[in-house]
Amino acid sequence: MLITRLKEGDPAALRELYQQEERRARSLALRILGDAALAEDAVQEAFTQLWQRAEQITLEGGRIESLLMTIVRRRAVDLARRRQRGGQTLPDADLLREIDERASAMLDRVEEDLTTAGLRTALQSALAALPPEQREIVRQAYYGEATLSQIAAREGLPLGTVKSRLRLAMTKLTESMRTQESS
Amino acid sequence: MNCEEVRDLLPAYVLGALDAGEMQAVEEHLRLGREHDGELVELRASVFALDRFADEESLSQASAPSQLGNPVLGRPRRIPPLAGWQVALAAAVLIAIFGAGWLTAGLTAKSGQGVHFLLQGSNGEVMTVSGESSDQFVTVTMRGFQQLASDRAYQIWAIRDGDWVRIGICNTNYEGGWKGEFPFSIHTGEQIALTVEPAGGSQTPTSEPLLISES
Repeated sequence: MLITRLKEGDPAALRELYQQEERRARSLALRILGDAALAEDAVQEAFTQLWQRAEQITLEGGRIESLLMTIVRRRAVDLARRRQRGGQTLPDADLLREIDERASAMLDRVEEDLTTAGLRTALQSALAALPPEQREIVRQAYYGEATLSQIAAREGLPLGTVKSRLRLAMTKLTESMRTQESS
Repeated sequence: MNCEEVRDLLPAYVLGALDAGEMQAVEEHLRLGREHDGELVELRASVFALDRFADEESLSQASAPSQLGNPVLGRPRRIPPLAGWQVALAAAVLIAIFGAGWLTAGLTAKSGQGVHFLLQGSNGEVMTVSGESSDQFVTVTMRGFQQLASDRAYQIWAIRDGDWVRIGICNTNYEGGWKGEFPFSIHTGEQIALTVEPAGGSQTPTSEPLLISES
């Protein structure tokens, strides 16, 4: 398995992962950063981090590809925030390590049940079903464009309304995942 | 902050969309116990699903521009699919040098006119070299490399039809990193190599390559 070979320090395993995932990782980082050079930085840092810390990885049934995308997103959002907001950071990675491993495993189980294409369709259907104002809050928060307070100020909305819209939207997405997993 | 207040903020927390003070308060609460773990797992799984499957279109469709301000970062740029994506996976070439067990290996990925190399060492060193056949510059990033003494430099080469062509020289910082551009036009089918040379560089390599990609 790729993860086993990575943990053993097999350079070919990293190259295989790079071959498989570089394009998707770059696309993810570029969506978040909107800057090709920064996106390249984020992807390169993610592969480097994965390679240097491979021995410590515990997937608990999850997939290395999912973990890689998590790292890419984390690096990309972190870069975006540092660039725009002077050093604000993402949630504590250590605090969420076990949570993230379980979340990756959960997503992988859903993907196994539905196939990759099925999961993509399910997620995009759930997003399409969101009211536009909820989807927009998700978009801004997801891409690291602003905190809830900044979104509220920008939109001229009460902070409670922005929180509520995001909560409702994320609840619908998680319920969609839960439904898929339980089915 | 009590459980209900934390629960209210968890969706924003998992997306990293809280102010620093709120972020700290939520994390202090989460460190007290594990009662929010189940909800956190589901929320993070949703974020990972967005990472994997949501594109700009699905997150932006039917949005109402008149209600929106200007994003801080600007609208993320949409990337067209890479037509004719080809990847040539090189076989590993292992050369131990300096008795430190440095390895050389490389990968070339070609997309459209773009050529990307990833080279890695056995001690976590990673170097990428990216460029466009139509462009006159290549971008090089290095991480995890030993910082050299002031009388030495890393030299990056392209191997073109068997000839070693100089791309540029650099030295990493105290953290082992470096990033920069060199005026060089890179082409598919070429190899990339890294050597240590006297400061100022050499006309031809004077040492065995630390890293080299396969053709």
